[in-house]
Amino acid sequence: MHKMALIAVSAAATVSFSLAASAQGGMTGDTIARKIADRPNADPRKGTITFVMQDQGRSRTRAAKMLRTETGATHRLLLAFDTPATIRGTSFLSYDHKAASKSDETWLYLPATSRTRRVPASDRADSFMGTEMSYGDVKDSFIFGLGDYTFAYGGRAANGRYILKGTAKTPQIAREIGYGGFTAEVDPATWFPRTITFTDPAGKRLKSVSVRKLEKVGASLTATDFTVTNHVTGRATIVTVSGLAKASVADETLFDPARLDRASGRMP
Amino acid sequence: MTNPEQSGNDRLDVQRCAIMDAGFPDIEWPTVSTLILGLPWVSALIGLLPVALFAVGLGWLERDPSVDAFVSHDHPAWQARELARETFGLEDPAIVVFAQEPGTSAFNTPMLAAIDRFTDEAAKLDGAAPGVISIGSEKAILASAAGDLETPEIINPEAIDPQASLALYRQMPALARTLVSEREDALMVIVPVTDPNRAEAVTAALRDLALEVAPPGVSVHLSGVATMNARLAEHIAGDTKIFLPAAFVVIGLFLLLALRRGQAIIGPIVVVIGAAVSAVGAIGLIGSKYYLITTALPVVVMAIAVADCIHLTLAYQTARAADPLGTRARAMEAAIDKVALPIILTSVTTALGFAGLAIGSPMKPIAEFGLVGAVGVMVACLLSLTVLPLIQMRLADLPPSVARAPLLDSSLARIAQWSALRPGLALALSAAIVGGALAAAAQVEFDYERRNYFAAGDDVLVADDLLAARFAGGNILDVIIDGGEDEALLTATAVSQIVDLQRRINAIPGVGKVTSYGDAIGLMHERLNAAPPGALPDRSDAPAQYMFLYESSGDPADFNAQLDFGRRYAMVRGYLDNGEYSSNKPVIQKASAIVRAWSQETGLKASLSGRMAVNDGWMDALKASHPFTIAAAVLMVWIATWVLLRGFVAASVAMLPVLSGIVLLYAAMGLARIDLAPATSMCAAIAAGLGVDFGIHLVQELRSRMARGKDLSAALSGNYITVMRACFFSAVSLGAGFTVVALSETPVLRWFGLLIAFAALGSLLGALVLVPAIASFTSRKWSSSHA
Repeated sequence: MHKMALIAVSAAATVSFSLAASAQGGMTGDTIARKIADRPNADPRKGTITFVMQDQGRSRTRAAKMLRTETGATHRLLLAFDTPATIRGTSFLSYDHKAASKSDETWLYLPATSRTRRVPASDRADSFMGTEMSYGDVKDSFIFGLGDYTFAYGGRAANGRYILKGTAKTPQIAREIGYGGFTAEVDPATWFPRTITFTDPAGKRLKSVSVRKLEKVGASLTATDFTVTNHVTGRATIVTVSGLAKASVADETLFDPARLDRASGRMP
Repeated sequence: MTNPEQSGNDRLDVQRCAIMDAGFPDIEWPTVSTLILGLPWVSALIGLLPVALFAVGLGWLERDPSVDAFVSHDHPAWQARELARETFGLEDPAIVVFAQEPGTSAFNTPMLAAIDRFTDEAAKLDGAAPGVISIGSEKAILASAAGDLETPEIINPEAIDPQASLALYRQMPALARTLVSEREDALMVIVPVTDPNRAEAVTAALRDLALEVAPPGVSVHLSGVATMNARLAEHIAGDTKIFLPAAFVVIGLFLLLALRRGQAIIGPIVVVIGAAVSAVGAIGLIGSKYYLITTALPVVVMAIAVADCIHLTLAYQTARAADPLGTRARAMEAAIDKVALPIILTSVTTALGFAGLAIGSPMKPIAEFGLVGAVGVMVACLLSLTVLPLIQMRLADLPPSVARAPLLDSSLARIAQWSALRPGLALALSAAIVGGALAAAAQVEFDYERRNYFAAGDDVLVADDLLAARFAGGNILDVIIDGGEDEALLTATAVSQIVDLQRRINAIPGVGKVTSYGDAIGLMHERLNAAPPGALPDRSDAPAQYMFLYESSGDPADFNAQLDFGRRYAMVRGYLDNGEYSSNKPVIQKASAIVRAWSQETGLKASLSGRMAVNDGWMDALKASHPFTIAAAVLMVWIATWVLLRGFVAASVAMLPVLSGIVLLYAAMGLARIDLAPATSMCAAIAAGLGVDFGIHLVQELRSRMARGKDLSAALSGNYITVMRACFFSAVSLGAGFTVVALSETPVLRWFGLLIAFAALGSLLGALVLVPAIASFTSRKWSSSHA
């Protein structure tokens, strides 16, 4: 008897869900998240990235030449800073390994000590080099981890974008990524989220991301003008990328941590 | 009171004359009294309308329990601290200490778990600002064997390991005695709050949370300026609940004693309530706040207002006794004619005493206390001459036999006669007392110690003692450094200069510890380069790059409390052994000289700030202004008395008891070792305004009697004794009213109440003794001057 009732309830739920999905044109949260994750992102790119960090009307600017490549197993990001003058010549290199079993690696070359230092493995929730972005944000590159969130379709905004909602699958994951959930507006033409509002693990509004400009290199889209605002601290970081271009097959030695001291002068 | 010298058919006429002769001949006071009683509704309206208007302000009252309220906002230390508050956000936080038994290590799993949880959850409380600091938020700065920077959390929330945490903490010398007690048996959490002046709710929530998370055997203590302000707010609320009922009971009892009929005190109660409501309402109307010292205001005004009521009612009862067959209205007219002028005179002089505070004090709460106090006094005067007569002529009648107070009257008469007969002895005795009092008064010192605002055993004091005993102390002295432009403070030179400043300030006796971001830069340099301890980077950009490395490895917010966002401003924080103004004066002076010299040497702008510098600044201002405040009050009262009494000698005689009262007040402070601080500094000015009342009443009465040709002995009898009795009851009820303030939870307010009560009684005794004695020397002059 109980089994029959369960079957009936399950069937009803399935029918309801199907009807709801149908009403939304077959779109579900998982579908949108998958489309975003499948967005091409492998083209090697270069440009100049500028971080303008703002706090109560004051700002600090850091600028670096950027080189980004992807091997089959690893995203690699190289930044060679030249602004401000006090950190000129400082180079940052990160390996974000796709394999979950392998820890990401980060190095920083400091001219003042003439040495490359390995930066301790950061939590994804940690701040990325003093900006309002987290290491997770940089690593994810506007992609929501399919294993991190339970997704829900939130309908369409007045501007036609899909509204995607995500909730961290477990409190443990929420702590690791620093977010309890998010609500994003996703452009159906590019499958790129144009606005994202993150909540903290306790559910309070934490951070907003607003993407103003996208540029395409090869098949890969890059956000070249966006702002990350931290609603708790009131601070914001404006990130712009200028001169974005496809990088020729990069000199592999640039991505060698042991030669990071020479990266600054050899950036394409 | 019946004049014993008179008898026969002309008795009533003479009595009437005796009652009426006090007024100035060129003012037709009887017309005024007739109007008051002839147009009762108009009189009541005139009396009650101001009360109603001022009462509107009650709705706009706002509390401000902070000590900051006393600080001039244009003082450099204040401005530097405001900059620090905006830039670093750590000014005047709540401090929560979790303490093990002395000597028991706080590095155990339950304690560390409690600190970690408290640090996380405190930041989420309403009223808490971001940036809670404890070893639960701090990271150690280490280097791996390969020379890589490592910044592990001192408490790893995923796997709490007391030994690991202890080892990490010991790598961070800057945390010793600031976040961890010297013997590692207590841990501190610093919680910034959004508004330290209104922190009652957040400190209560912090206490609840701390008690909830504290493991068994661990005591929780709350300190810090935000907590102290919250406690003071509790005091205000508690005092307000106690003061008013207690004042009613005490004043009611003394009124009953003076007027000797239950229903006779109804009118005075209406007056004191009206005056108190007006004074407190005036606070709201002028946009002021209800400060800690304002708590005493209603009681002060009530105690002063009652004096007018006693004078009028006794005069009325005396008139009724003198003419039992006459109408009540006629007796009240006579009473008004008799006391209206003295009541106006004394009210004006008392109000001027308060106005002296308003003019002379640089501290807003004191100046505004003076202003609204003056309002209360003048409203009491108005009510006493409009509403009170209407009530008293219906309720204050006494049988003639009760109208006298033979024992008191005879005692007062003896004092007057003794002084007049032995003026030299009376004056010599008074001079000897004043001389002794002056010697004691010379012991009085300007000092301020925030501990004095709390009674012994108060939780806040226990916490403060614990901070002093186990940590570097909770008394903060900051230096705010301005590099002039962004990134300026992240050069090797700047770091070296700031660490040098740190060392110089640390060398001042009384400074427990000094911290700055230079500590962390030094640690990074030492650990990244295997440099010797204490070494600092010499490559110019090294500090900026170390900081960049740290931002890439740890939380960039970790330095928010020491280095601003633009890396232009830095805070060097010193912890002082105690918070006493006098003890810290040399420390502040030396620190100030060091900062000046350092600034000239380095070209970096630096300002002293922090609670201790702010306190020093406003105490200096109080010290500088105090003589002028008191002089202004005394001078204004003197001039007003001179003008109103139309005689320099008479005014001077009326003022002598005031001066003796003030000297006795300072003597009491010297003997009881009560410091001159904001609240107690107000006492003398208020006492000046109050003390002259007795002199005015007695001089006015004596002068009028002598002007009518009575010799001194005769003048010092009859109605003069009635006036003495009224002064006596006024002073006693005034003293009793002020003694109510001694019920305060705040020791400083207790002293305030007791000192004014003491000064009032001193002025009364001075008036009772000195006026007849001086009159005895100068009786001819008095008579001729008035004639």
